[in-house]
Amino acid sequence: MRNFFSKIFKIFQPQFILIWTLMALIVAFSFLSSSFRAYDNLFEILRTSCNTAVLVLGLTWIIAMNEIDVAFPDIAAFGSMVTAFCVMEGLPWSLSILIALLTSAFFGLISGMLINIFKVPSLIATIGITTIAKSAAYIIGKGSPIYFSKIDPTVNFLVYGKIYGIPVLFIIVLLLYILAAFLQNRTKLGQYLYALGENRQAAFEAGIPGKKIIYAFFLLSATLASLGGVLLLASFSSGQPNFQGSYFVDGLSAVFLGALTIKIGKPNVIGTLIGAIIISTLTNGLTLLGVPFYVGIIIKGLLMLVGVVMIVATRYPFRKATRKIHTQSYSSP
Amino acid sequence: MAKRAKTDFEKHWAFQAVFPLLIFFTIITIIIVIFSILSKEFLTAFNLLQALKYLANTGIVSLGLTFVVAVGKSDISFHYVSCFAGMTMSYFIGMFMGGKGIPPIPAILLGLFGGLIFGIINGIAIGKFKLPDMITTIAVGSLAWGMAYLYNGGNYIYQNFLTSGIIQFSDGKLFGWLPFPVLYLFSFYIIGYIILHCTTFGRRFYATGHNPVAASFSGIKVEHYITLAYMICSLMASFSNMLMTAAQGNGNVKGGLVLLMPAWAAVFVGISIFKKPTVYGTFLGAFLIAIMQNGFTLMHTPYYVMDLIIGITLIFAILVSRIQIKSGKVSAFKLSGKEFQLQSTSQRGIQK
Repeated sequence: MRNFFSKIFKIFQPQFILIWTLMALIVAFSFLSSSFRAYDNLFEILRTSCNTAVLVLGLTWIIAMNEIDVAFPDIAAFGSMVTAFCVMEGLPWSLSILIALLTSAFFGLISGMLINIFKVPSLIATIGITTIAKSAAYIIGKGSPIYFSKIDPTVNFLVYGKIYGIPVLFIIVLLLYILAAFLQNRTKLGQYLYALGENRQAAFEAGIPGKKIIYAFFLLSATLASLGGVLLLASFSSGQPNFQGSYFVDGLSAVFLGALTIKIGKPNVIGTLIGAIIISTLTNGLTLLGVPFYVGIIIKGLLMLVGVVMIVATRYPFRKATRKIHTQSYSSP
Repeated sequence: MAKRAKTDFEKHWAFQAVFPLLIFFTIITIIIVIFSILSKEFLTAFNLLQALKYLANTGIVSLGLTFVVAVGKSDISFHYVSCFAGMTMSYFIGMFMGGKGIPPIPAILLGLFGGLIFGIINGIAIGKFKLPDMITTIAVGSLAWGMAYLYNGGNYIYQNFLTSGIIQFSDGKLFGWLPFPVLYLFSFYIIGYIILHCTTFGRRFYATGHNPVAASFSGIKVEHYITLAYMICSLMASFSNMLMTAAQGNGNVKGGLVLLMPAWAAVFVGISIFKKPTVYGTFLGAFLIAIMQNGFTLMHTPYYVMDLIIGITLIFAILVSRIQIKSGKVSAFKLSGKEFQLQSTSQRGIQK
């Protein structure tokens, strides 16, 4: 009987608290707003969460590696502007998206070089890259967005299409995340990733090809950010040189909230997906309740702060114990 | 006892110390020569004062950031916090008491106080409760930015700006020729230099940054210095944004967002030259940025092209001033272990 209860109480453990938060949010919003609980709206939330989810998939691993990448919103803007420009020049959509992804990967390569070869801290390197990407995006459109009259039907189907009511985009992103989760949990690369984050020096001494991994993940992050930009291009039906700051906070909130689930204190892809869905639910629900959008920014900030405090609080007993051991070893020579 | 072999740094210390400075001044000279060829107004006394006014915005905010980097933390919330402070000031000038407003000096103090609150939150969370710095600052920053919207729903505040005399805060001149921003800039830098480089109090910031555990064992209250550094950073950022707000003549929620890149770049150019965050290094970094902004503005370059060239030049300047000598020959970009490194990166507090 006791065993049974302990199994039941397992789902109340701290690593599942974010899932409970999501459920509580959905229930609360459903009570408050009748348009929120509509079948279509719930799938619309899943669809919009995919934009953030794609933007920050690479970022999750970079933060797990104990680096940071603040360039992703501007690389997304750059990707969307390049695609828009190429389409306007008359190139086919597939080729334009490919060009956008390749040119954005170049930014990832530069960040990787700055960090690996020139030993610039990743925050500084990516702040530099973000400026360059943003200006490049503005230069492509000569300072203004590029608007479309119509979007390619295939892209439109991928972004807006539905199979049995489920958005195609969500299915694709779910498959992408399952692949990513496999990469993270079942391959050597995933282990190396967390090793690099835990102790960089030890990882290098143990022979992990750390530099190559840093290159690979910064390339991946830039490419996925650009792909997110292409998705946003399809949603706005225009190429925007500036996503106005809210994607920065949204993306980082998704990653850091995601760090609260499954592997506590470590960013992981499944957590990020849940985090992205929470952010999207909040935005959608608050909009339907008629709350101004800036209250959403405040709530996201508070959520992140509470999350961080919770992680540190759950780890505190452990830290206290280790500190005790240290003081003992100091005091008894 | 055998004599210890000299390290590379000791053999070539003169080169190591002078070479980055030499490179830096070469870059500045090249930039000044190019601009004075391209534009006739560049090398005039009037324009020099204009350039110093540009320098005031970047310089003051990066001075505050220097303290945070000196305690080995990083702050990516100060630009959001500065938005909150600027909007607080605008609100009290333009909309308080049904549109009557209050005089500029109390409004400025209230704005500084508003910024200071977020600095204290940052400092206590990171210093006292040992939360990881990047997540905490992003969270507090988004709180501050969201709250900046509360004043007027994100719209501009421009009432009373012309009549209340707040314009004088930025456009006023001492003795009829010295603009106030230049005065603020130099007084802050002199005070900052004395505090950080000439007192025991200032050395403790560096001690905290280099090794917090050793610092706390030598009797330094580490969390107080971290809190203080974040408070100084948010105060300086708020002041800088209020100068910008006064110069523009309206309170804008997104006005402060441009401060992030130049401030970090200025601090890091300083670190590249002097191998640790210093007040004078930060000044040189901010000077490099300001002179380019001024020159491009004179040439009527579009702002986005300006950002691109400034970004590339900064990365170039940082890279070039990191060339060092290793075992007798100039090896590009190999760093010695003694180099000051940012402790930061996000997760440290959490993962342990």
